[in-house]
Order: sequence, then C-alpha cells, then structure tokens
Amino acid sequence: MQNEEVLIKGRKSGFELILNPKAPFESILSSIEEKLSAPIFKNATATISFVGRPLSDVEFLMLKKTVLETTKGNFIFEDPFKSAGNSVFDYLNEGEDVVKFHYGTLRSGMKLTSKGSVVVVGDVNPGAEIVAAGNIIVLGTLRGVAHAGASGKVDAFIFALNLNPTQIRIADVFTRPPDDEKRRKITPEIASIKDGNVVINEVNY
Amino acid sequence: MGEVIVITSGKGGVGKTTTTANIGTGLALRGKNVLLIDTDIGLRNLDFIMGLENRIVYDLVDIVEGNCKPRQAMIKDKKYQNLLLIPAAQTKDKTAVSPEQMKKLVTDLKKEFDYILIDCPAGIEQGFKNAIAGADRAIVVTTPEVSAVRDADRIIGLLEASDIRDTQLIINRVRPDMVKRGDMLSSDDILDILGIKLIGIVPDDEGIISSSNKGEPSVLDSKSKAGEAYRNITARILGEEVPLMDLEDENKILVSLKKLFGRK
Repeated sequence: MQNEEVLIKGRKSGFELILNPKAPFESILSSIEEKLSAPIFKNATATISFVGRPLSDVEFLMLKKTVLETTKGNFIFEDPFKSAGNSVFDYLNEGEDVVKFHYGTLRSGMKLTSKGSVVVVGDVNPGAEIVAAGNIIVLGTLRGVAHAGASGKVDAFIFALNLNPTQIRIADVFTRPPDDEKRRKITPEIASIKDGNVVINEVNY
Repeated sequence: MGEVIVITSGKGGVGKTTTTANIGTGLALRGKNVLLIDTDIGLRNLDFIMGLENRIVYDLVDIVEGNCKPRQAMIKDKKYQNLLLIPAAQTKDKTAVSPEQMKKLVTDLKKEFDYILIDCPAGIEQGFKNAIAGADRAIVVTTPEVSAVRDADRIIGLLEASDIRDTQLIINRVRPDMVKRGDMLSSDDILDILGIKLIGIVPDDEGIISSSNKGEPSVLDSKSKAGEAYRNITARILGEEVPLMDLEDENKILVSLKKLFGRK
C-alpha cells in the first residue's frame, strides 16, 4: 500500500479507489489514468468512491474529470464530503471556511488564490486577478478580474463597494460589463448567479 | 551618505530619461553632487540627452567587467563640475550586468555623492531588475494615458514586492486643454488608481524635443514651462514645499475677460 498511489477495490455496486495520502496529487491522477484504462472500466456503470486521503473541492472535481475522461463510463461518485465524522469532511470545512485577507491595493499583475474566500481591504486594479473557490469581497473598487466559486460553486458571490471589473466569473459563467456602459453611480453591489446568468444587485444597508 | 533614486515607469517613451536628465541637472544647479547612471544597455539615450555622447570612453559594462575603475567611466557635465554621468554600453544588452553587480557598484558609490539617479529601461525584465537593485527609493513616471497608467501600476506592485516603498509619481506630458475637454485622464483619475504620492506634473512642451536634440536639459531654460515644472520637482525632492504649477495661466486672463462679457 505504501508504494501504490491508487488501489482499486471492488464493492457491491461499484469500486472504491483507495488513494495514498502521502503521494503527490499529480501522481494520483496519472495512476488513475493508467489503472482505469483497463477494458473493464470502459463505458461501465457503477458507483465510485474515493477514500484514504482528504480531498479539497478542486481535487475532487479533478479526480472525477480524470475518471470520466479515461473511461467514458457512467459513474456515480460518492460525495466524500457528506459522510459525518470523516476526517475528509473536516479538511474540506477547513478549506471552505478559510478567508484570505489582503490589505492594500491589489496591483496589476498580482494574483490572489484561495481554497476558501477572499477579502480585499483596498482596491483591485485592472490587470489584477482573484481566484477563490468561495466568495470574493472587495472593500474598495474592483477593476480587475474576480473569479468566485472557481471550484464549481454556483452559489458563490462577488461583492464590492464599487463594482467596475474588466470581467466577472462565477463558477463556469464568465461575463463582462456592456461595451457602451457609462459609469453608473458608485454604490455597493453584489454579483451572483440566477438562472445561469450573472446578475448584479445593489446592496442597500 | 547619498540617496539612490531609480526613475522607472514600465511603459516606454513616457519621459524617464528626460526626467532623469532634468532632475539630475536641477539638483546639480542647487549645488548637490549628483551621479547619473544609464542602465538601458543596448538602447542608451541619457548620454545623448545630456549632450555628452562624444565624450564616452568607458561605460557601465566596462566597470562591471573590471576593464576600468568607476571614476574612469564617469563623464563630467559640460557646465557643472558636480554632475557626472556613467553611460550605458551600446554594443551589449541587459544580460551583461546582474542585479548583484549593480547593487555592489551603487552601494560603493553612494558614499561619494549626494544623489545617484538611475535611469531605468522600459519593461519588467532584467533591465528593470538591474536598475532597482540597490535603490533606496523610486520615482515612477507616467503620462495621462490608460496604457501608461496600467504599466505604472504593475511597476509599483513590483517595487513594493522588492521592498521599495514611498514611491512618488510624476505625471508627464499633461495637456490641460485636453483634460478640460474630458479627453485626457486627470491627475485625480490617475491617483485614484495608483494611490502613491504625487511629486510633480510636467506639461507637454515642444521645447523638450529641441532641448533633447541640443543636449541641454529644459530645466536650464527659464522660459520653458516643462523646465519650471522640473525645477519645482527638484525643490520638492530637496524637501521644499512648492505648490503645483497652474498649467492654465496663459489662458486665465482670457477666461476672466470672457466671464466678464457673459460668454462661455
């Protein structure tokens, strides 16, 4: 077990992929690609669960993607985050609740990433980027690119005291301000997804 | 012990070399011992702007390679004994010098001058890294154009990341008539994004082109508006409080007369 990145065990309704907690994530992915290219998995229909290693939102998405691309199968993935009392659950909660703070202006060319949420106490200038698995809050003017829910969370939001970005991204929806837009009044606004589109609402206190 | 100031911008052609020449000359006019260093290896201009290109024997790369001592590469200004220039090499490129070599050189020379001004090349690569190594502080030059301001923002971020703080800003080539019409960014627009202290505004001035061609910085010309702006910037560097020039004073009388007669 120590040397194998991934071990596959059969279960009643599918497979359990036992992931080595010590191996680097890239090697886990390549091992899955290798092992799951066996004919038995091609176009299979089964349940797959990943065990043995705490996983983040993003990692879980990547594992699912790798399995599906390699096998073209019809798999149902057991959500590792639903099992109560599992250490995986605790790890993810840690990631989700983590809030990264940045004090001061985020300048052009700077990039902030977080597995949780991001709060910028300052402005975000054009050419700067924020990528968060969670929410993004800018206590200033947002002029750069903000990507919230980057791991697929459609209910993530982006808030700014002055929302004037070059681009807004939430989960996999990208949008930009209208080309002919004259600068609206400066007021706190929040961007979120409704019916698959990004909507901007004023925030009234 | 002198102060090392790097003059940088990110964007090319906004006036770094002109600013270095004028501030350097301005400081020398006020009696300070000033050394200018051109780090734009391969595309050198500072020597020409200062009118000293015919006097180059050794350059920055010669010093760093050990072909000469620093003093041998220093060229005295035509008019002021207390103003010296180390030119860049033209036949090499920016990989000929490393940040460590620059830092050592500049730290050694600091003891002999009141101010060392470093003319930084455009860009953010090796040339920039060489120029900021050993700098105590920075002056960022921008023009009132969005592309220049974007690049200036990037540069300020890189300066902050290299622990160079309290950077000051010069807004160059301002055309007050365009600002009034709303066709040009105002200083407030620019400061809103860049958020650093403004040390001066230099108006767009045709005279800069002729003074560059003659090799006589505008700061020496009492009739030049740009020159006056640079003299004010020099004073501010020396710690004096000088109010910002009113760039519209030629038109002021006309405007008051118009108001008097009820026309806009």
